[in-house]
Amino acid sequence: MTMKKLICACLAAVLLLSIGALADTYVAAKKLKPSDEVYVLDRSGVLTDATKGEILFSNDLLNEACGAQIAVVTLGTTGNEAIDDYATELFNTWGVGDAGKGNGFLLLLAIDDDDYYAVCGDGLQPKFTSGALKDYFDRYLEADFAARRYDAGVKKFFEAVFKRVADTYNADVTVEQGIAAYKASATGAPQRAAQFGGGSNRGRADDDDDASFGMILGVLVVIVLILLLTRTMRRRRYRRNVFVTPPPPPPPTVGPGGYRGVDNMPGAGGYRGPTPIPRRRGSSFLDGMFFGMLNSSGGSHHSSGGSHRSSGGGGFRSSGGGFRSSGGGSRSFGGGHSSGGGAGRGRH
Amino acid sequence: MRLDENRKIAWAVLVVCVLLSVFAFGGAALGRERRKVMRVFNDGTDTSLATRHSMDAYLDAAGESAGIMANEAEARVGASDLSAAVLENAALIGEDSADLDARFKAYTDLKGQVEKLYNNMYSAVSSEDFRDFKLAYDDFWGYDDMIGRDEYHKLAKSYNGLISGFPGGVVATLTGQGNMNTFGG
Repeated sequence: MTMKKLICACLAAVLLLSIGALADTYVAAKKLKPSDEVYVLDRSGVLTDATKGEILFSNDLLNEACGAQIAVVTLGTTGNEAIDDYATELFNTWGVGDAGKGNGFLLLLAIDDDDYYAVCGDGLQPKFTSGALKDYFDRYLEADFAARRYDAGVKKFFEAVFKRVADTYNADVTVEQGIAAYKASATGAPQRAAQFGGGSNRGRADDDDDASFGMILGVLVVIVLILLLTRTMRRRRYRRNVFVTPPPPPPPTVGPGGYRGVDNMPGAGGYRGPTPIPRRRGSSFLDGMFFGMLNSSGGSHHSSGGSHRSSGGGGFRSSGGGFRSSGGGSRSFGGGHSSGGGAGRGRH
Repeated sequence: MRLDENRKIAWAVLVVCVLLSVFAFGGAALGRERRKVMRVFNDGTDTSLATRHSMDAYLDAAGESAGIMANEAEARVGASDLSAAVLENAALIGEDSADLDARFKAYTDLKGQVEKLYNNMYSAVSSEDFRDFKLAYDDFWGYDDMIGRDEYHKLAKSYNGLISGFPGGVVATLTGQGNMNTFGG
């Protein structure tokens, strides 16, 4: 294996590893898409199906009663973004809660960052001031979060917030009704349970689709680079052959007629030897150039074709991978907005 | 001589036109822009909700929270210069008639004072006695977060950019309109 091929292979390996490493860790708030279930996105896989079902079905009831929505998101890290900025941007990008009433609520858990944050819509802000939120955290979430019992903490916190929101809007719905609805769907309609069970995965897969597609694109780019490099090497060898100087013709020998010397012209009538092959430098150069251009244009065509495929595919995938309402009624966020003022684990 | 050939009249008309364009058109336009920005400061960008969401509302609420903290501190550990200063600045930031610069200065001072008060209270009282103070403290910083994210900052910066260039700067100087306080945004 030549040095260049070895270098290419190493670069490819490094590229694949780095893309793979980055794929699952951080997604900017603007690019994070809701799962099919809308209300819960469990990228970290810390919530049980029962908790997710409770969140989902309780939200259905609450949304129907007063338009309020309580979204729960778990992920690994918010990257370089501060968690309050991330949560607020996510809230406003998704539009949690009813746009007119501003009654959305978002709880964000960044597991790897060991942090959480909650933010609510403008309409709920008087009920969920930062102080009130901190109080809720202290009472319902912090102890379980610190002990890494994320599912238990989220369940308690969600139930407390749900009750407060329902009371605010005098909505005659309870979490118990939501749990009952979930259990009824789980037992009566296995298809629904299967859908839900796959819901959070599908949510993850939506994001993973983008990540794995990035890996495929990276591999394609590297393969194209390797092909270009190897073709360049072959082209050079081909050119060397084209430009090899033909051997000089042998010197003329005196033929059977002897030296005749017509008009004192030496060698006249004698054997002149084979006609030397003319060096078609110009045409072979052009041939080489044309072939080289063909190769390079072919190569770039491949890469541009690849990028076209990737951009088309990526765009399609991202639109296709975005929110899809699952069967049994459509769910979507209501376009709510938050001016911030949430609270998190930090001092302020 | 015809009226339209009279040089003195022409000069007078020119001066009047220049004054009109500077004060009536330029100055009035700048004034309108300034009032628009102040409307966002006072009423916010969305007036459809039951509660106000504007810089003015957040400052009022922050002042209220700071006032609660100062009262709690006075009740638990006794009156002090610090709690008096907090009460003074809390009242000033909620004063609608006060100049924006004065309100901003009071608000900046208040933030530092609130932190000092927190540290004093944290070490001086039990967790049970600290609870109401902490609630008000967290509320204060929540309003600070909302102040930081408000649309007003962008609009004020945009207005300041308008009057820093030409001819906005000239018109602003002639009509006595200065920069708007961006409240740290």
